[in-house]
Amino acid sequence: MINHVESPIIEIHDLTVSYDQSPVLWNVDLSLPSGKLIGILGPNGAGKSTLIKAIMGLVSPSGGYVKLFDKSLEEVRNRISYVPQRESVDWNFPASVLDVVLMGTYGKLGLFKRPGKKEKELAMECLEKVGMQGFANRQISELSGGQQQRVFIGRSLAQNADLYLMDEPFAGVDMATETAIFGLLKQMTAEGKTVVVVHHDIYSAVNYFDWFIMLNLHLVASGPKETVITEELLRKTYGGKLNLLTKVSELIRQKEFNPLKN
Amino acid sequence: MSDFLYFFTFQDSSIAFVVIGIILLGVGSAYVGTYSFLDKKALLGDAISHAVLPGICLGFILAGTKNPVYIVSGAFFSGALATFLTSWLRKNTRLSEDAIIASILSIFFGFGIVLLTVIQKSGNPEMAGLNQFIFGNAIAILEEDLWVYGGLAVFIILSLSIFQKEFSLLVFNAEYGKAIGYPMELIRLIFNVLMILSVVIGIQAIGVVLMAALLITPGAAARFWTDKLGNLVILAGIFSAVSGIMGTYISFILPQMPTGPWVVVFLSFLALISFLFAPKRGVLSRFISRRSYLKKTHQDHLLKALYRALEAGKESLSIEEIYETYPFQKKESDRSIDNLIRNGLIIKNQHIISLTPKGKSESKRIVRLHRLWELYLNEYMNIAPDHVHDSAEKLEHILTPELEELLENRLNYPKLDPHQETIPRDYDEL
Amino acid sequence: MMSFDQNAFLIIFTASMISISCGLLGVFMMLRKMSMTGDAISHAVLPGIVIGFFISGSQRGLEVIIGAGVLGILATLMIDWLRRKARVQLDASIGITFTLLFAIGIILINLLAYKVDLDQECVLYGEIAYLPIDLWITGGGQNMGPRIMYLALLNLILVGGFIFLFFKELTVTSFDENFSMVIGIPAGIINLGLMSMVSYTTVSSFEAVGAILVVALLVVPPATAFLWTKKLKQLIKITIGIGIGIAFSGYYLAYFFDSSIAGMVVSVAGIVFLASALYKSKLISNRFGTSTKQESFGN
Repeated sequence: MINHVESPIIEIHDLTVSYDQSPVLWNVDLSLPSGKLIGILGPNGAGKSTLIKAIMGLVSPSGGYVKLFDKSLEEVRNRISYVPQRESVDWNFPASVLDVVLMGTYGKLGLFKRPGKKEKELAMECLEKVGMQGFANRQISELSGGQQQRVFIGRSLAQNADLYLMDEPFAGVDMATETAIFGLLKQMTAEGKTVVVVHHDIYSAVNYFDWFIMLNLHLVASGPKETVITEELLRKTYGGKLNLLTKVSELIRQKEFNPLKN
Repeated sequence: MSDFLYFFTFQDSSIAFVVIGIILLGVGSAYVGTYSFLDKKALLGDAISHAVLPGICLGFILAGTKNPVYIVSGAFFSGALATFLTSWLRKNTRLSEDAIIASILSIFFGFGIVLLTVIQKSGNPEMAGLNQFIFGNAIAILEEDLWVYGGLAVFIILSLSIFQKEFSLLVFNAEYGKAIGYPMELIRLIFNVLMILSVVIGIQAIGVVLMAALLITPGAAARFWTDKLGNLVILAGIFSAVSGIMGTYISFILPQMPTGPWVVVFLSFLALISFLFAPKRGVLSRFISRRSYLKKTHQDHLLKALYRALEAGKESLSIEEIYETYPFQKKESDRSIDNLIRNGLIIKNQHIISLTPKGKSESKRIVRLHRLWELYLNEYMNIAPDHVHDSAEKLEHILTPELEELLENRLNYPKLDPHQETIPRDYDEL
Repeated sequence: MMSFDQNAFLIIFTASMISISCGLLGVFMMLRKMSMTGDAISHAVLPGIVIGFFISGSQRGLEVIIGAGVLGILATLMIDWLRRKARVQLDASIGITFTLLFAIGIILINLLAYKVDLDQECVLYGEIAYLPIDLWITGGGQNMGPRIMYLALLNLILVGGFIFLFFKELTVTSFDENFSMVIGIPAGIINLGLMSMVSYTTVSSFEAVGAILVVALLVVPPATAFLWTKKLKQLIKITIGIGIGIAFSGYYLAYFFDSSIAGMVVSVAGIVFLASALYKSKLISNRFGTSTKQESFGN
């Protein structure tokens, strides 16, 4: 069940992405509505992170394309915000909470300018939104997992974007933080922003998101809760990898080159 | 030329000794280094190599001469201290691995330089020999020393060969080893000892700064030729021995040159050849593989074109029609046609190309795979009919008969593809 | 007595400047977990230095710096080629590249000895003791002072400028490369810039401290500072402080023991490092682990 929308904020056309020689996403076709809280779900290794990375231009697809606001990524970078996985950085880095959130303003600052009073005020506002304003000068190495995640989200808020893509923002985070963050995300969509979140847990997902993308190496479904959260589609998503697909991926990986690339 | 013969016929027994020594040193280091390489800790060897310098100098200061026992002990002590400090720092600070290794490496080396310059200024004539530890001087290795160093090398080679199982567990799956009751900590300790020993003896030939090459390069090069551990280690040893001999030879004919750099040059050359030309993993092999794959895909497409002509009611195609179907690929088309004729899949009658029975069967198979895959993508993965073609076009060339069987089963021997075209089987007739 | 003090001052001043330049770059190399790459680059530039000397004759000018710069980039490209095209694992790619380039450098020193006035030992540990007599005499006959001091000064200004101008780019690419690429920062170019500055600094400093000991100055003071603080600005200040301190004590200890100055500077750095590690670890063992306090919104 793949619902398409008019004037989508994200349009993905026939996207195939390989990771390390073997295909991880096959021919994904979907379009996403703006102003919604969208969840990307699927089992481990289903390609959820890869999809986000492909949208953000961090991996290049072997086929197909992505359009954002009906334009290419390069044209609309300043309207998009990215929250990577928490483990992708070393939190021992010598930076304070405020330093990290300020990084969200770097894109708009340009090459030689330093963040000034305006940027610091913006950063403090963002910290307030995630409940971390008291930690502004704390070193990030002293934070708990939930606090680290909130700092990451604070940083993305400082980008002042229209579209937010978050990779597993709730992995390893306590319940209180999770609830609080979802509250924030709902508020953001109420203000007209679009938030796309890779999530790991189907049970909480059902209550939180307006729109669901179900992945299992390919797109199983994309649409609002009523059309997508059915037993059959859940089974297709979580009921194990497609045996044939896995075998073919394996076959491709064993070749010394990727036959899917041109 | 006469130099060459003199050297390689080993008329001079001292040369013969040196060559044997080099072979042993090189093989010992290559063996240890290969395990270290597989453990992805190749640069640790670099750190240890630099770290033995102060120990060598201390040994010299204590002995007053280049006594190998003192030197080896000193080097061993300082190498062991460096290894110990590296683990200690790893456990007790939050510095990253690379910062720890780089720090220990340069601190010990710096301290070694201090000792070295103190010795130099003391005016001890023996000291001239110490410089050989920095850049290596195989020819200067004395016969008596060779017994010590050679003996150690043999010890290392034997240990690694006899306990291959234990060391490969350490490198590939330490946790499993621990789980099944092997004393992994002890094995790790012994490995570190062997590593330090091999550094101590290897630097005779190649020197402290370049020792890392003797540990890393042979294994990295051998890796391209084989997947089996036993063969890998032996091949690494051979690369190392050959480079060692060549380096020594250069030292022989150009006495002002240190041996170390030449050994590294030969090793790197062998490595480059491996990276480029090794079958399967080499850059060239992969390139050739890809080229021949592309040629096969072109041939397959040609067969498909002929089949589709059959579906449309045409018995054959003219060469011009084929050229038209694949514009700008006249040469490839010619080559494909020749190959297909050679394989008995098509026949050419003046300008007309048609399928032989064998060719008909093969072209059916390719079209069948294409359409089956399209159906699979469409039915099982919800992919729209107009998006399945590209993927099928690429995969029709590599799907195996086993996968074909799976596909047929999964899709229940279907008759039509998503574009309502018939899926051809051998028993069909057009 | 006066001339001795002046020489000491010049040497210590130059050594401090070199330590500071290396330390500044080293902070970012450490944060990017590229300390060993820094080690590799400082070895790899040797052929460039030798060829530069060869081309420029006795002038030792710009050619040497350009030669090193070219080789620094060449080394980075080689490592990259080995890793991505030849599919060799990263640590091996680094090891093979730098040993080969360094070996070629040593061979060139020997082959070109008739024209190139370098010796192998100088490459390793430099000889900063000769600094006061190696003077820069302008065309007009004016004695400007030690040549190497001016080189170090220029290097410090350029390194300082680089770090200052690109501070936020360096910081964000060191912390979170993916994020920096997404917000449009050219992470690859910043990285190349940093590698180039390391190559340049190695070459500018090698006559004084040797190519190999440059590594120590790149790596050890920042690592030591990192044991003491978790704040970036402090990290840089402590690194600078250590740089000056070791230059000072290294000089006098070397004089006392009659050893290589550069080697002694590094040894002092090492002692400070190990002492800090020991001291700080005892402190750490008395504390609890990472904070597990939970905060909810609104607190």
